[in-house]
Amino acid sequence: MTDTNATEGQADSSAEETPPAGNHWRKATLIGVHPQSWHSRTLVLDVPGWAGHLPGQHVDVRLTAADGYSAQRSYSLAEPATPDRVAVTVDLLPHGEVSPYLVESMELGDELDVRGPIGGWFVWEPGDPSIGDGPVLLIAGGSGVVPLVTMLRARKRAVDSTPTMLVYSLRGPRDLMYGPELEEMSADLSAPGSAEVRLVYTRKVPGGHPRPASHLTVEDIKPPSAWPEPLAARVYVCGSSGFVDHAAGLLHKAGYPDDRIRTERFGPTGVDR
Amino acid sequence: MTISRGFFGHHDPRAVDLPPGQHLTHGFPVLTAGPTQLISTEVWSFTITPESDKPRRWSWNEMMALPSEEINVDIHCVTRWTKLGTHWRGVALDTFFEEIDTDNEYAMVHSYGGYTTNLPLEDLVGGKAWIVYEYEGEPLHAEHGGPARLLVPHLYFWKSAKWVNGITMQRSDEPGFWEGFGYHNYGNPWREERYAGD
Ligand SMILES: Cc1cc2nc3c(=O)[nH]c(=O)nc-3n(C[C@H](O)[C@H](O)[C@H](O)COP(=O)(O)OP(=O)(O)OC[C@H]3O[C@@H](n4cnc5c(N)ncnc54)[C@H](O)[C@@H]3O)c2cc1C
Repeated sequence: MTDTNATEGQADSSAEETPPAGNHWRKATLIGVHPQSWHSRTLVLDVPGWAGHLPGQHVDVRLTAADGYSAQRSYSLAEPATPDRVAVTVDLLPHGEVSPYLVESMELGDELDVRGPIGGWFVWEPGDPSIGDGPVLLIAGGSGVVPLVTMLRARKRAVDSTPTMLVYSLRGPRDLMYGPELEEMSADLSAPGSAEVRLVYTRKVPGGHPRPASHLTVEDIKPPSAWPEPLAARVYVCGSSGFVDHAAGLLHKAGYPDDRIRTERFGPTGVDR
Repeated sequence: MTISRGFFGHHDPRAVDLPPGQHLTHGFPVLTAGPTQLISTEVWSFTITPESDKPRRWSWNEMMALPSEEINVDIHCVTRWTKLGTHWRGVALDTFFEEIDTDNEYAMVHSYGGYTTNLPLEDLVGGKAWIVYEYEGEPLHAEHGGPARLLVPHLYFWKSAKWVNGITMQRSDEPGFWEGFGYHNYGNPWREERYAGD
């Protein structure tokens, strides 16, 4: 598996002489773009020397204007490790500073700086015994789906059969990221690398979808009946702070112990309390 | 630095006052590993354990009887959010440490839920750190670390442990939770000490 090899390679390199991999900025060149939803896209970057990462880790991105002004943001790694390559999937925040550039302005051949991989807590790697082999419950709000899809892709790549379910909360059909891929992944649950996917629309439901629009409920996160020990599942929750708090509250209600829940928050809390 | 063709940025005029790589938010910066802890003030307590192994414990009511201060500071989260002019009320750690006899120079801060973070003692005393229980004139909400959290505004905000419940004095420095996952051991935002090796 390339994932594991790449990270082992990192750990083996003599730590005294080379700074840790996350610690210097590398030039990245845009070599591919893939639209994801009406207002998001995946950017594929060529990053010479990128040694690899774990699903769930993120990169810091730095944009610098011609006058030297610069802005930095964090983005989850959107693909399992491939040498010299970094992908991020960015959702447009209409009046934001960085996401409009990444989603609308940046063109093939344009450059920026990245640094990473960062974060060793919000990670799940197929077959990693240190993280356990119980079922995996992934709960995403909006663009919080990005690191979770990276975990699903890594699992598929490794032909891992850990029971896995993605619960994905989104506003409406126009917000759906990775639609065709998620559909394919969940079409035949007996196929290797497949995963159950539940789409939870909060405002606008596409025609034919059985569930009415509402916020995520305890029902939505109920594990499939086939899971032997649902409460032994490892749970990953990612999205805005408000979404993560809401989902963690539901998990609490459903009886999941805190120590099985890992969270990643993409923004500040909206409430000023 | 690599110039990104076509990027202009927002050039926030206030940005000159921010630590490098930070930008302003009007929300509340967060970096939390797991779910919010719900601790009532009846069960809350705060314990300092010096090397003598004679811990000194304060209950909620005992803490409320200590002299409190108003604190008006900017806070900087390593996820790049800076919030200006936040108002807190709490008790300076100097007040707690008046009763503690220690020669150890390092502290490990503990929280309900198992979170830990490490700091040199000198960053906790001398009017630099507080146990806070009010934010903007109201009891500190559980989401933001209530009923009480540590506040160490001169370091990145992950050092300001939410749901704090104790400090253990140590002879040597050891990494806490995020410090063990590649974040910087000290975390000075003005020197941009985000990750190990910065
Ligand atoms: C670890 C981590 C991983 C991330 N991964 C991704 C990812 O994979 N894909 C992705 O699209 N984004 C991701 N983000 C969010 C990303 O870093 C930026 O915050 C986002 O792209 C907005 O940046 P901006 O410059 O466009 O907006 P800004 O100019 O920063 O924002 C303008 C205003 O909008 C508000 N705001 C900004 N972001 C949010 C938010 N997420 N929720 C609520 N309010 C907000 C703020 O109050 C801000 O003042 C991640 C964040 C973190 C911390």
